[in-house]
Amino acid sequence: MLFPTVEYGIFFLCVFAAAWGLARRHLARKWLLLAASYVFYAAWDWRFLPLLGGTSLLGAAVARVLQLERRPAVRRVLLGAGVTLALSVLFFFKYLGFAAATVGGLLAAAGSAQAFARLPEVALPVGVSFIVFHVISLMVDAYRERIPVRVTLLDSFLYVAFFPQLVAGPILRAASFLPQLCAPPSPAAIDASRGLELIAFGLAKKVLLANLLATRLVDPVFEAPGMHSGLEALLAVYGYAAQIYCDFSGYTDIAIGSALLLGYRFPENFRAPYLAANPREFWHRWHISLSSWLRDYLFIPLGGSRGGRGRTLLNLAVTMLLGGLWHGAGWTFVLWGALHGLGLIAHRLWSESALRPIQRLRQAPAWKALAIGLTFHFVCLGWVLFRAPSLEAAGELLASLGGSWDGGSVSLAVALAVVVGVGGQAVPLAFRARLRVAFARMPLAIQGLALALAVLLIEAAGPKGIAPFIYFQF
Amino acid sequence: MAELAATSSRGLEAERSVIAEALSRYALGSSTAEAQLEQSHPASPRLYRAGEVVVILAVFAAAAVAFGSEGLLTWAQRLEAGPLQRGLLAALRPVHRALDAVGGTAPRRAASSVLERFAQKLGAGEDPLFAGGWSQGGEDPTEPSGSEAPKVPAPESSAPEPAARVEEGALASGPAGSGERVTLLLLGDSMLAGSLGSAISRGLGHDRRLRVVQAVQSATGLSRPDVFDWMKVVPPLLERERPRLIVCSLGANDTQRLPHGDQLLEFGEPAWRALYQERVMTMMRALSGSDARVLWLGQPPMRDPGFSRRARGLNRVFMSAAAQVPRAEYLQLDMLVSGPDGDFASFIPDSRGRFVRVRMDDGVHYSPAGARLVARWVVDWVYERLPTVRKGS
Repeated sequence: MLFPTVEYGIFFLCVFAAAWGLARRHLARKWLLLAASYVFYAAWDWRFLPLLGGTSLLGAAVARVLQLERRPAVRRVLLGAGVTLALSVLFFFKYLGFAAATVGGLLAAAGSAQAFARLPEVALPVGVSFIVFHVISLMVDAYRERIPVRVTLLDSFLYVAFFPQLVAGPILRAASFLPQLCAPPSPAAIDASRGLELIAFGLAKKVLLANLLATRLVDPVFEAPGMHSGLEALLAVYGYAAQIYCDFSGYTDIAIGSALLLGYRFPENFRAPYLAANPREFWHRWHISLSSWLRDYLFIPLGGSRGGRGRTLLNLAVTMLLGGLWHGAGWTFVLWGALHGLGLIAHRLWSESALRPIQRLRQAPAWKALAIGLTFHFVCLGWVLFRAPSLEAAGELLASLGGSWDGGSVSLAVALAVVVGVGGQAVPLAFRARLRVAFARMPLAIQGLALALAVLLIEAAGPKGIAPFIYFQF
Repeated sequence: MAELAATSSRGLEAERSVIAEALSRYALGSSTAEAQLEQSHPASPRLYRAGEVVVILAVFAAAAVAFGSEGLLTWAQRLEAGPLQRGLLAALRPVHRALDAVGGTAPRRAASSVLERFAQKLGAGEDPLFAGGWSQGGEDPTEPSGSEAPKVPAPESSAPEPAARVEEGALASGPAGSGERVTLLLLGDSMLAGSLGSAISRGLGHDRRLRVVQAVQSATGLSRPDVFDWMKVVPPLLERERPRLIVCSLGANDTQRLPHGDQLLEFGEPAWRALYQERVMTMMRALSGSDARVLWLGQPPMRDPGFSRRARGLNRVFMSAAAQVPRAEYLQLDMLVSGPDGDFASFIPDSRGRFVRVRMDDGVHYSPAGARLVARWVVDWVYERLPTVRKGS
């Protein structure tokens, strides 16, 4: 069940009504949300429900025992075993084929005969990376005694499976979400204007901008880079930067908005990422729930920046490399992570540099604007690797940037979508805040009508026959 | 109620301070998850009571049904055919008719047409290949009368976008000016739309004797003409492009029930098979026309065993249909992109023993390398047939 569909709309309205109907019966309310989350997941693929339940059970059991057990050695072993088990689930479903292919290829290159006749075939469960990261957060937060409440089976299951975040995040921390599940959310304090605003803007980003950019510009160029001019290739690169932002941030906006309407707060996931003036700032603004997860559960356990400069840089590189691999089992993702790791290292060396000319340059008035431009293009270079189906295709696309710039043209609508998708981030937050105030001041019925108008306009202007009205898979 | 955890031991306290210190020095910033939460939710102008939100959402839902009944009807129509879909349609049709009678559907239609005109001005109209080709079933009340349908300019007069699917220099010349070149039409669903179409185009890329045209639409097939009717798209398409060679890949979306009159035919039952084969043959005949050559691509094995079995059933239909239609040929793909036993494989070894990914993560679509494998056979077929059609043209 994708968010921008009629199905989700109906599903959410039902869950909303039932959840607030049970406002005074907290336990029943949580059971209802858990059941709804499992229905939501089953609508993607019911065969993986046991996986969802099994990993939740692992996380809940380990976290609860960690809360009770006091012997440090036992706690360490338990945490190690739990995290290893969770990571093996991720490895099995997401990386086994890729790893076996790589090993088989290396063996073949080393001259041995055909290593394997066949590789294991494993279907990729929807959202498995998010599920496993939630389970790990649950166990590690319990180990670090960051969870101020008793871990229960029901809360753990709901935390891992809660449908707004289930398939595409934002990644919640057990430390901040489990306490929210302890006390019933107040039916008198729903942040509805913000929730509805997030849902409406998220829909617009996803249905209007991301879809238009994908079908009209990005997909055709990335599928056949050799057949497009340099100008089209460049626009497609910018277009993909706009598309992936609109797509992903739109999706998590809908998630955050849905959760707010149900009375739960999710962390912010995007904060105008293309306004970042350096790679480090970019990761403060892009997929924040992931970058802070990687920071707290990978970079810091690796030693963080405690082991001297060389060690810090190495930790940064490893974190980003694994972060890249988390996005997908393929060399393009590894390289994308490596690129961002290098970017972070370069920025760190640059910002620590005591060289006079560099310091003077950094103080120059135009530097900030230049830095934003440079960072954006660095990020775009990364997106080429991220989007391209193979390294070869990425190379081809980059090569076509240097090729002929004759021929080909892009419609005004597509160009406008690129500009809005990237430039829309420069719209000050105060504008959205004013909009929210104006919305909240209107009579309730007018608020409902305004919401309907926004959704109907998005639907009418959205692509016909593609999402949100897809009737089958392909 | 919340039960606070036991007080932490001293060792943990120490570890926590290390973590806090590391956090503060960490290259990626120092805000904790909690601080992030606070930051991301600045004070809202007002908080609502649940009852108030219910009012907003109820008005929203009522307005969405009242003014968006057309969109809802279209949505229901595109659901998989079955009892649920029938029920929804039965419920939505009278609502829509009643609203239509009182003018409830007018605002959306007006908005749609304004938006469409606006989009067209910006060059975001429908794909030129589908000029007038978008069709709903005859009984669909959602389709406005013909005069309201957007008129899309012919390919040569519109500003072609990169998404324009006419490739290999044809953008400038248009169909009329294609000279002596033979047009190859690639027609199908997303099995063809992604890597495969471009792999075929590239395989033939620099051959000046050929002009490649792609007509692809994801999520379509032959089982749901009520959703997308290829038989209405094909004749004007052939008229305009005049292809002599056609490669068609349809069927991946057809492993579902067939609505037939008042009946629903279950996939695979004899009546289903008869009706589906009839449609495939009609399509093959339409494509081959008076003298075009048609290559119908079979379905590869799929990761899901049930899907794979159904795909084999489809392949049997394609094979038997192609045998009965002159100038139509069927390409069996089972052994081209599969494991050693002809079953599904994501990776297969190349000639040097290195494993190459041939299928996407979804276990259905081709990866670029898999597409190149299939494209090689298609390209061979094109070169084999090229002399015969050139003689005929």
